[in-house]
Amino acid sequence: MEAWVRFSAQSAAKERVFRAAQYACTLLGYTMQKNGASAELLARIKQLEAHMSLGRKLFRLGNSAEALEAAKRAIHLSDMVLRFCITVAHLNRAMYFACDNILWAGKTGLVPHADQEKWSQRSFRYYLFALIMNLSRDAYEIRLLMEREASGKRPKGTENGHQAQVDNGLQHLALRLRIQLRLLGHVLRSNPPLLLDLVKNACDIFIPLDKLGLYKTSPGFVGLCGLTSSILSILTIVHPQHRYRSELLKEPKKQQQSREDRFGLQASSWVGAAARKMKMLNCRERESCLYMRASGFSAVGCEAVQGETSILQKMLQQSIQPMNSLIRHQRTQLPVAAFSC
Amino acid sequence: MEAFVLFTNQTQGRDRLFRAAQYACMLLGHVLEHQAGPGAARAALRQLEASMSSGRKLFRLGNMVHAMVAARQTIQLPDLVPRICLTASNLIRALYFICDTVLWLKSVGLLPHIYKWKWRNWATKCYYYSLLMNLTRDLYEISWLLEQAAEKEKAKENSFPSDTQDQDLICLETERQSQPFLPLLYCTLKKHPPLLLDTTKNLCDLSSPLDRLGIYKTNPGIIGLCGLLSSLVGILTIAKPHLKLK
Repeated sequence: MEAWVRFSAQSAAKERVFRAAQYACTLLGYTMQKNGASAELLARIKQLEAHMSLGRKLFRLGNSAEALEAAKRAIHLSDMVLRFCITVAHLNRAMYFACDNILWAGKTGLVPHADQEKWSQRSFRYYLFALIMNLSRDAYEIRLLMEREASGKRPKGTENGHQAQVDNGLQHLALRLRIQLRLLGHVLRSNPPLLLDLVKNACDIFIPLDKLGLYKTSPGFVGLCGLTSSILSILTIVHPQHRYRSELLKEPKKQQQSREDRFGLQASSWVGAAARKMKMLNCRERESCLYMRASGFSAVGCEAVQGETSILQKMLQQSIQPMNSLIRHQRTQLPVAAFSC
Repeated sequence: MEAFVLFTNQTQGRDRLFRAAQYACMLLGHVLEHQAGPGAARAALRQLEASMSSGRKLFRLGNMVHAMVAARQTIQLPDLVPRICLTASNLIRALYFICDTVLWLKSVGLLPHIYKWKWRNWATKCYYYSLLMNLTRDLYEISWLLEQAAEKEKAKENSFPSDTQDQDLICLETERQSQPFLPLLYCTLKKHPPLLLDTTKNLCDLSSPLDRLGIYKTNPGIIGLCGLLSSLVGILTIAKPHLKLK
């Protein structure tokens, strides 16, 4: 239950759950229509889907600011291709949310004369451009990783080169293709976050392609793609280690190590200080002291942000154990949630 | 902009913003009602309010789990009165969210045969009793603080003469000379902003169920104003967590 509380406290996470539910309704509606369900049932499913769509539009108000902030951060990336792809993707997302907000205003009657069809097409166009940029970024990353793999294996591959000289042109091409595909498979298998991101973007792209009429599929297929990509997004939120971060953006190992050491030292000094102080305080003061320590932990946690939060979480969990045993020793009953961040 | 993004990344933060907007629409609609002129603005405000209310209901699905988890935490509090009050409040809030979910299912047509007025009445009653429990806890905290202030004053009287410029002791002097209760209460609450904010929020929230249950009828303007105030306090406590009453 605590896991659901932590998960749903993030607005993006809750929004993904409702996105999954919305596309599940689309898929269900299509399946039931094919199987000859009653018109009343289909109408109810459609009503539920429309309600979720409008509710999500309301909750997405203000997401343009988040996309612009992300674009502002991405503009400082070192790699030029990544900088371009990610920044443009976020800018397109910001435009998509802006169009989405206008659609919401139109549906709720604030802007009654807004052309729903026109703004809907515009929003899907921006969404499509953002996805194309994301897929370009994924393709670039895959290419870099494949080159790295290939250059790492080249000294061992002399017999392959010898074989290629002997065969004729078409077979040579087929062999090269097989090698590339094998390399691609290896790269994707050894980088699950990249694979997840690629699959997610590939599923998502069918939605605007269908709505813009560029590649018509069926509502069922769109629903399935939307549901799959929403589930994958939920997975990356629940398990942040599966969220893809570029190899080029990762800190060098040494820097990572020193950050861990610094936080480890800080965490242990806080635990020691808290333990010494606790013996002298009364019940209420103990509670506020521990809360302050927990706030301190959470401030450190926020600093780490997108990077190594999983490492910090482990360290914080380790520091909770000595605090809990101290509490039990002092016979103070304090909510464990005071320590969670 | 970064602070806004961090604030809206939390579901509760976003919900408070929309709640503030919803009650602002209610207040504005009441103010415009008595003015002559086309009703387009009033109709737009009503529609906006309804849309925000239904959107917030959707995003409240699953909050009964939050209330159960909060009840599990508050049952471990050391002091008896806050433990009972807050646990009861959280359990009743869980019941409120269950009623709210049923009302949402009715509004989307998934449960067409339930009596909306009956479930709405139960939901309002649960909300009302939960607020009363929170207010009881606030009153207990206030009386505990007043007792502490009185004890401190007695200790000071025994060790020092009464002439002093200190702000605290001016407040305590007020008590010694049997001044009205309100200035004393003001002094106490000024030193404890989280308690003041929590009490204000609960008192403001009380206006809506009191009106719905017919206990104390007001008008949409008062309900809108109180709702807006309590939402603003909620936003403040989320933006500045040290102002939240623990």
